[in-house]
Amino acid sequence: MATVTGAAPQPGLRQLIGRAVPYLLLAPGIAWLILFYAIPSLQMFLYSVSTGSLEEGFVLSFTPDAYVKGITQFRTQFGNSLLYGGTATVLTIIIGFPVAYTIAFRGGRYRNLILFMVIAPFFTSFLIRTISWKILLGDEGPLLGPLKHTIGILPGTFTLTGTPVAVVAGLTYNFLPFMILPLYVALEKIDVRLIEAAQDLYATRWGAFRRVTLPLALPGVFAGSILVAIPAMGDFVNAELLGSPQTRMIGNVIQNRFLIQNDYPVAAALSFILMFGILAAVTIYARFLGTERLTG
Amino acid sequence: MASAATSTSRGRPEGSLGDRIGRRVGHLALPVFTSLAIFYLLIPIIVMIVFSFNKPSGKFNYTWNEFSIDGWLHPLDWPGLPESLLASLGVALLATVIATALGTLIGLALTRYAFRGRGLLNGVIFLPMATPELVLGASLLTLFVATALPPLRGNVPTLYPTGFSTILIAHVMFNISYVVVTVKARLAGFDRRLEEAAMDLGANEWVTFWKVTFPLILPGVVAAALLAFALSIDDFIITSFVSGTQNTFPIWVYSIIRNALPVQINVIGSIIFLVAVGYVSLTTIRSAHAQR
Amino acid sequence: MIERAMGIGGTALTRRTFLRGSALAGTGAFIAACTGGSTPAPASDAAPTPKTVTGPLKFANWTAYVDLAGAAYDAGVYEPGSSPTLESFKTEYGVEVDYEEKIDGNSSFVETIKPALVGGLATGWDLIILTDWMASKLVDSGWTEKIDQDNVPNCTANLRDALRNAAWDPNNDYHYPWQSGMTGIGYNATAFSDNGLTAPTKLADLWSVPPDKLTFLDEARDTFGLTLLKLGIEPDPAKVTADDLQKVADDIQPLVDGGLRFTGNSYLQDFGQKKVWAAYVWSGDLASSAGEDDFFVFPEEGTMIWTDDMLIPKGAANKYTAELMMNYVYDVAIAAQIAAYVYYVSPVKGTAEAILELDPDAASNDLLFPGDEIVAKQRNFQSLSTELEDKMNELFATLSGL
Repeated sequence: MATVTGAAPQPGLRQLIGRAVPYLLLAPGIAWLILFYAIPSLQMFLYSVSTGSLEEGFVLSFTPDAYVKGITQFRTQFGNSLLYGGTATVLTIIIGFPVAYTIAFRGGRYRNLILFMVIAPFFTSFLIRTISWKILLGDEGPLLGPLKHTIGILPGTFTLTGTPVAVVAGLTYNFLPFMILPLYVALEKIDVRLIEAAQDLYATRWGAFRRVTLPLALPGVFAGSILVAIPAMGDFVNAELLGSPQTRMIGNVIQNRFLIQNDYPVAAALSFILMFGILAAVTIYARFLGTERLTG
Repeated sequence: MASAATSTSRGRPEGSLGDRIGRRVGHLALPVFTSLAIFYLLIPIIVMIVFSFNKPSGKFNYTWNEFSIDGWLHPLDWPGLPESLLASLGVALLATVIATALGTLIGLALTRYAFRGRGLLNGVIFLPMATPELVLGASLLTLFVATALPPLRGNVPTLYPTGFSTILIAHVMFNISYVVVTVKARLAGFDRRLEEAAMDLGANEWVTFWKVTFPLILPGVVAAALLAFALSIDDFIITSFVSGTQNTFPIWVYSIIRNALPVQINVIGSIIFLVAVGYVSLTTIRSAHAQR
Repeated sequence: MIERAMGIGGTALTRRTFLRGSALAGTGAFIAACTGGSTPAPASDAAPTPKTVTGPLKFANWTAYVDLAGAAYDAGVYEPGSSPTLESFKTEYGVEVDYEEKIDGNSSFVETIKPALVGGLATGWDLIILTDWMASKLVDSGWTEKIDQDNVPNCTANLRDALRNAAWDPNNDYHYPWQSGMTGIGYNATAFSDNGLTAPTKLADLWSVPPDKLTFLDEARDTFGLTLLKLGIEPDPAKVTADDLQKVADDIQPLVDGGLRFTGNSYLQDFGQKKVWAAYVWSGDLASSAGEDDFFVFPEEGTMIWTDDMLIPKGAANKYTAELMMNYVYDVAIAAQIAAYVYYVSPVKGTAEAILELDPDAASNDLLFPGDEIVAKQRNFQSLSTELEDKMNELFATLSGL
């Protein structure tokens, strides 16, 4: 009997299950994010429109004071974040694209090995890497030492650490693998015959690259830029370890206001300004690259 | 793949000598550039390995003094180091497994299904990545504290004092979005007709998923898992908020380096690095053999 | 700040106001946790702590602030990174000690435990070490456990008279000093001679060092106090005005523009790498933890003096063991062992005699036992009024770009 009547309700049930599938897939991850991201974030938002301190208690006064203060007082630091983070992102694209391209199309049997070397820095602690950078860029380190004393083209007081150059170098170094990986994932998918066909059609390698490879790689460029720009602009560790008070980024201010000055409202307001600034930038960037292509 | 590309280019008219030289240089330029970039990425690791054989003259292993294998003979010989290392590996492994599973499911839902709120979710999923790590850490801590107090106390699991489990919660949280983004990048060009073909041939959804979909997205999932593991084992900022008195390796390193830079830090870093290199080399060789 | 934290009635009101405004129960709960708990629980002296040794003792301290290895390590007696004092304590009482150099600044450390303290929860630490000004805030807020004096006979007997009767805790109910120290100039002799500079003798000399080869301290009291001295203004918390602090900021600003940085103990790294030529430093660190050509100088203008105190944070799980540790480090022989390594001023009577046996040179060392001339120029810039502290913090935040 089941075999006879089963046929009629089955599509309905199937449809029902089918409609539920995406929600079932989403449920566990989204629940985690709601509990441990959304709710704490809401708390932070309430802080940003409150006045007071941890000891006195916070009064939810819905005042925009913290935002006003954040925007007016920390222009330099926002500027630095944009400048250093942006420069680092562009540098990672310039350095990362050829590398990802080589791994995807020329890696051959060494592909996994090269890929591994790209993420190798992550298998050491971030702190060890930064210590190594401090040694390398140090005033008497392996780079500047010879330039100052053996070759003698730099004055003895020349210094890299504490300058914007060191901060950008550190950011670029630390986030480069975040650019290479998604670029590789995007490039690797490209059917090599497409490129060959294009080379036959456009004759030049550059033409084929520009009209076929590059457009197909754009989702990777987009994902990579997101993965690099966001942590880079919100970073404070590089500016802290390799910079000086002159090179403070907005992350340094947020960290300090939060942990040292106990100024939760301004810290929270700055966080939201930073977040929404980044969101706006991402949206514009996505439009610029073409949303359709990115979301598939 | 490389050989296929060369054979077709040979089939085309070659052009002038200058063109050919240019092409030859162009052919070499990429590997050379890549080698340089890889070198740039590896310099700090080279420094780390070289200095693991140093016998520092003072407490800071900053300047080369004398060759020694002392550090390698006593790699864990520093109070607190073994415990922090175990904690780091435990957190990273668990967080990777959980976050990769949860993130891949979201990635699948976002790319393969139409549902209400999909567009919104596509944007919202980026939010955790757009949030400065220190804000994530600070706001999580406030949540954990709240679970230990009325009215939440007793009604929800208590997550304070913070420790291993809260570090794990935080790491899974910040990893999910990274996994989603990476898996999505892989799924973006996914040809659904392959699945439809499998279904037409009589496979049910479950079989189709494991036989067709999963193998196709596997490289993306693996890349996502690698990323999650790397982010987790490396995380310092968020962990510093939610670790309480539990040390992870980065937290331990951070507190020790102000006063001393023990050679053991380099040794442990080198060991982790070399084990990973060995593993990847082995699998590479094995797959090369398999292909033949 | 202290007075405000004590304003219990006002707190309850703000909490209710907040709860009414807050739609989200969880958030309300958190805020309630932040404010409601700040009613200090009655001191626990009514119920005496059971005298059982429990562990592990969670002990948070500053960098380079206990006898880490040193001579004992060189002789192969202890493993690297361990402390003879802590090891012998463990053996004597059969308890584990989890000693961690977690403190890099008073504010930055206290912020990590403040949510717990405000919420009336255990911080996870049993023994912490904070500078006078911050220690007094914690004690005033009721965030420290009352010490059972019966358990610390060494402390009551051996605390130096000069350190008794602190205004904020006259009977040492809540604190015992760990070490005292001075803030002055540190410099690298090689860098100075290589670059044709003469060794600094006064604070003003630092203004002729390239600013990007210079660090000041991120403890604002130290940096502002010393610079007041440099400007010839008496750093007396009762007399200093907001204008004086402004003058300090104006004097430092050009250095910041030239690349001056502010650090905590991590100046030790910078000296290790020859990245700084000179710095404002704390007196013992260079002697205990830096290179042989790094020296501490008592500036002609004078030094800042401060004391770091042992505190047992409220709700500590191993209070009795923490008291045993306090008592242990006030044993004269142990105090001498620590002082001989850290090169700070021990709060324990009779250390000078005991140290002679360990290190005959140390007894005449001005870092450990400052001479009369140095003592005469020591200035205490710890207990600032709330207005002055807020002004200083604001100026310091601007200077450091934060």
